[in-house]
Amino acid sequence: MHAVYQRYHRRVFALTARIAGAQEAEELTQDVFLKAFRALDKFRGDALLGTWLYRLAVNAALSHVSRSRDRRKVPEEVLESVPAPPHPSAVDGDPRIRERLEAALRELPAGYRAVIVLHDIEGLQHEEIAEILGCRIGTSKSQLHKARAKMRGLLGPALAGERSDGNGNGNGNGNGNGDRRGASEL
Amino acid sequence: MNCRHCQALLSPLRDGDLVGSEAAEVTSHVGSCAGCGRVRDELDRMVAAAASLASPAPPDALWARIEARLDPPVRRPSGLRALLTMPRLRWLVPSLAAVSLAAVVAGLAARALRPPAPSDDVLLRDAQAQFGQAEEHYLQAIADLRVIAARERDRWPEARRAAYDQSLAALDRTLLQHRDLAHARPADPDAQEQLFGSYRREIALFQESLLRSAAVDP
Repeated sequence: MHAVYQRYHRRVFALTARIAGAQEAEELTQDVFLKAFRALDKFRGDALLGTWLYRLAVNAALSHVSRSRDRRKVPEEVLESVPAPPHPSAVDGDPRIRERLEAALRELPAGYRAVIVLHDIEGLQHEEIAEILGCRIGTSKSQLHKARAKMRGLLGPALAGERSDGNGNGNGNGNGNGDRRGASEL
Repeated sequence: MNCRHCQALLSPLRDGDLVGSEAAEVTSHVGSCAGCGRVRDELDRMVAAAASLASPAPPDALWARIEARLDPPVRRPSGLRALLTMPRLRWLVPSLAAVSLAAVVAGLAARALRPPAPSDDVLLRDAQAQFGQAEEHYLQAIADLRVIAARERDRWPEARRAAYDQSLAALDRTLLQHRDLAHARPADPDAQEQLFGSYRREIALFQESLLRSAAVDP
């Protein structure tokens, strides 16, 4: 059991922390492993075991979020209080964009948050995400694209930074309606 | 293709979910539209930043807390019980019962020894006697299991035999060292616990080997 824990606990903890919040992660991780150990004999093969554990983790986190009456909303001011990075070229290495990303993640609906965490942060493939979320692969993909759109909407100013498009107007387009649209259109 | 449609397809394009003419159309539009190009860049930056987020670290004591909440049947699952349910190995019961008894006695003795009360010679002698008794049980169990395992060993594949021999030799060496130390320091609870730990590890090796053997050929 300890070997199973050693192998999977970091990701289980990370999933619960990102989906349900850091304060809840330890308790949820304990619950996940206790539940898993009590039913461990049902599993054969490491890949399945990992997927199953992540499924338990995501379900536990999502259930916690839906049960929680005082859902921790990140007010817009919190996002605003994290300054935008000075230049987009520094975005990937700039801790401020990561802070804003963390804050925006908490703003996302839990289902969107789960799919972004699984795919973009944890790097899982849609086949496994579909197993974890109990949905079709196509649904996992479409949820991810919608989640990214929502996320980009929350991050818009941070991602745009002080960027100019190089020709001075920032609104170039190929058909005359290239104004920067809301992220929901992504 | 208008910008609205194009931007809706940038995320699928990025993940390789668009193919054929649709992918070509979006790519072409992005190449000629600064607005959509900027949206694509923002999307790329966002996904890259997400991938670079550091994972929150679990606390060091997490496993200890989980272990403390495990039910006894889960924490000490099937080892001995599984062995005893196999008809071919049922006659091991006396040896394994001795192991359990030895563990209990060793635990009691350890409690009596730690911390040793210099003024209480009676307590110390009693604890040492209990250690001696526990050690006898362990040694008897190990001797019995060694004979059984040696018999089963002939049926194992070459590679498993070699691994078993190697592990057993290493455990025997460690056990002898711990035994010398424990006998040289009869009032040292750490030395005693170290010795009993070696006994338990050797018993675990026999147990695991026999379980595997029985699982392959019950």
